[in-house]
Parts: sequence; C-alpha cells; structure tokens
Amino acid sequence: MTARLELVPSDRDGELALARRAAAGDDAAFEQIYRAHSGRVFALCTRMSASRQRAAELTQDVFVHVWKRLGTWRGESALSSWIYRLTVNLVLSNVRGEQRRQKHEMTEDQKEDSEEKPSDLGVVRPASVHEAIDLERAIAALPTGARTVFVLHDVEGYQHDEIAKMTGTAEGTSRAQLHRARKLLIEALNR
Amino acid sequence: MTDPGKSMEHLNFEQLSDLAERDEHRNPHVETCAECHATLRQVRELLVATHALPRELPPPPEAWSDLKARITAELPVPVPRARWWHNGWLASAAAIVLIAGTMTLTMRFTSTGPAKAKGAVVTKAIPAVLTSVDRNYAGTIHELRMALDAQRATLSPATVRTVENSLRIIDDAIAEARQALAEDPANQALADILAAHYERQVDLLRRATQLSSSL
Repeated sequence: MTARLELVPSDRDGELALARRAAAGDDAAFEQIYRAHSGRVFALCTRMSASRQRAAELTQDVFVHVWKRLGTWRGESALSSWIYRLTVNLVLSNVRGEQRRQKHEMTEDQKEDSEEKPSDLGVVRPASVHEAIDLERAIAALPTGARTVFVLHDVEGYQHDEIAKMTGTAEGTSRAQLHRARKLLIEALNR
Repeated sequence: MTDPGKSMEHLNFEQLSDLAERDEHRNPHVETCAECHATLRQVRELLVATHALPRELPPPPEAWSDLKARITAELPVPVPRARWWHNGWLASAAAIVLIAGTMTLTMRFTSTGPAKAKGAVVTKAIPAVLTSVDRNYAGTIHELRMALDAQRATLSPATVRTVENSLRIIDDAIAEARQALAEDPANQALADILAAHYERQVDLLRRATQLSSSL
C-alpha cells in the first residue's frame, strides 16, 4: 500500500486503549472511533457502491463488524488500516453477492449489455459536457469491476498485488481493469 | 535523419497510463508525438483530479443513531428476569392464552418452521424491518420496566410471580417472532405479529405499573 493510506497514528497506545474500552462496552469510546473513521468509510463505500443509499447501509454494516470484532484488533496495524481493510472486504463481498444475484436473474444477452454499457448498471451518467467534469459521477458510472479497481488503486492507494488478493483475481486483471477505468473516465470527462 | 515520432510506433493507452502513474516525464516517442503526448497529459490530469478528491464524505446525519439502534438490537437479548407482580387481572389466564395463540401464529407464518432456540442471538445482519420494530418499542419498554422494578416492593409475592410468568411468556413470544422475522424479513405478517407482542408487553407493563402506583 502506498503512503496515501498508511495513516500511522501518532499514538498507537492511545488508540489501543480506546479500542479496548470500546470493546468492553464503552459507548463513548466506540462513538469516538465511529466519528474518527466514518467519513472515510462512507466515502469508500459510496465510491465503490456508486450509491449513497447503499453506502449508508454498508457503512452501518462495517461499524457493526467493527463493534463485534474490535476485541480482536491487537494494534499490529493502525486502527484506520484495520477498519478500511474490513470495509473493502465487506464491500467486495457485497459486490460479489450482488453480481451472483444479477447473474442468476439476467439472461446472457442482458449480461453482455451491462458489461459493455456503464449506463445500463443503473447509475447516473453525466447529463451534459459540464457535468461530465464531475469526476465522482463519472466514477460512479464505471462498470463495477473497473470502478472497484480504480477506487482501490487510484483513490485508496492499494497496489495491484493487494487488490488481486482482495478481489480474488490475477494482478494482470487488476491492471487491465485500471487502464479500462482510466480510459472510460477520460472519455466521460471529455464528452 | 529520421523523425523518432514517426519511426516509432504509437504507445498504446496501457503504456501511456503506466507512464503517467510512474510520473515519467521523458519518453523519446511521447516527446515528439502530439497524439501520445495529449493522451499522457489527459491521464496525468485524471490522476491529479483523483488524488484531489475528498478523502472523507459525511455520512447521513441519522447514521450514528441508526447504528446505535442496530447494535442495541443485536445485543444478546437478556431473558428479562422479570421480577414482579399482581393478583386478579394479571392472573388472568386469558392473556396467557392470547400470547400462546400468537406464538402458534408465528410458527404458522414462518416458512422455515418453529424457531430453533428460544432467545437465540441472531448472528447475521439484522434486517431493517426488525430494527425498526424493535426501535419503536425499546424506549417505552425500558422505561416501564425501570418504573415497575422501582415499585416492586409494593407488590405481593403472588403478584410478582404472576407478572414474571406473564412477561416470560411474552418475552419468549418476542424472541420467537424476532428470530422468524430475521430469517424472513419480507414477511409482513411476522412483522405484525412481533409488533403485536411488543404492544402486549407494553400494555402488561403499563397496567402493572398503574396497579402498583394505586396500592
């Protein structure tokens, strides 16, 4: 992971103490952890899911997991890294579940269409040239696979080997999806 | 002398994308090829814009309260050691029969059959409908239980036993309905049954507190 995501806390001992208090049922400590990390978690969920509503649900899922598992965090990595990795895993798991569901529901023709046309994924395509410069919306309009890799690599700073492990794909697939995403984004922003 | 821009093949998008990522400023071909240079510039601009995106986005304002409610709902439901009350009305077998009847209804509406274990903690994500029903009654029931607990000393042991038994039956019915609804969140009939159990619990607690207040 690049330095962008390595938010090594200045006071790991304090963070560990806070986590232990939260794990022991201290609501104020847990709220402190939520306040400190929910913005980043929500941003990650929003960009990966391309839906604010879904992101709100995912963010809640993430912090329920954090609440349940906080006692297992031993401080080997920064709490932020632990939470964001948990977020990525949970969102990816959700995406895989959604893809399985769609695969089950769609015909082969529909599948082909949705893979090739981002607008068919139910997300908003920028409506005008001026709006096309809205990068967030352009990211949201990317096909799922390309969007996932783009957000993880270019926004969050994960490396291809890490993304490959998280997504269960080859590094080459991650690279190809990243190039595809960048190309589609440039096209969208120039439209 | 040959023009390097013409003698070399154009770089493909993947190569240019890699160049932009490595922030390599000098490339013999790109320096002389306007087309590749323009593409490289576009990728670099995209990366700059991407890195400038806000790292955080504020979650919806109600997110924290929703999270708290869900966590509360996911806490193991302590089988309330109801410790209370009264004689005449609470001893009414009718109320118990009513609850037992709705428990049967719960089983009937549950496609997967009867609940597997009383009071079992639901470990999977709590469906929104369940959280919503729980949230509607949690505050009221908590307050009534606290009030009743405080008034316990004013009630006879027989009354306390009767109330305890009644609450235990309702708690069992609630636990059963919750589990059924967690397994079948789209089942509106189960949601209605759960809400009805909560209503009965609230009613029982209200009547018990009023009774103890009047003594």
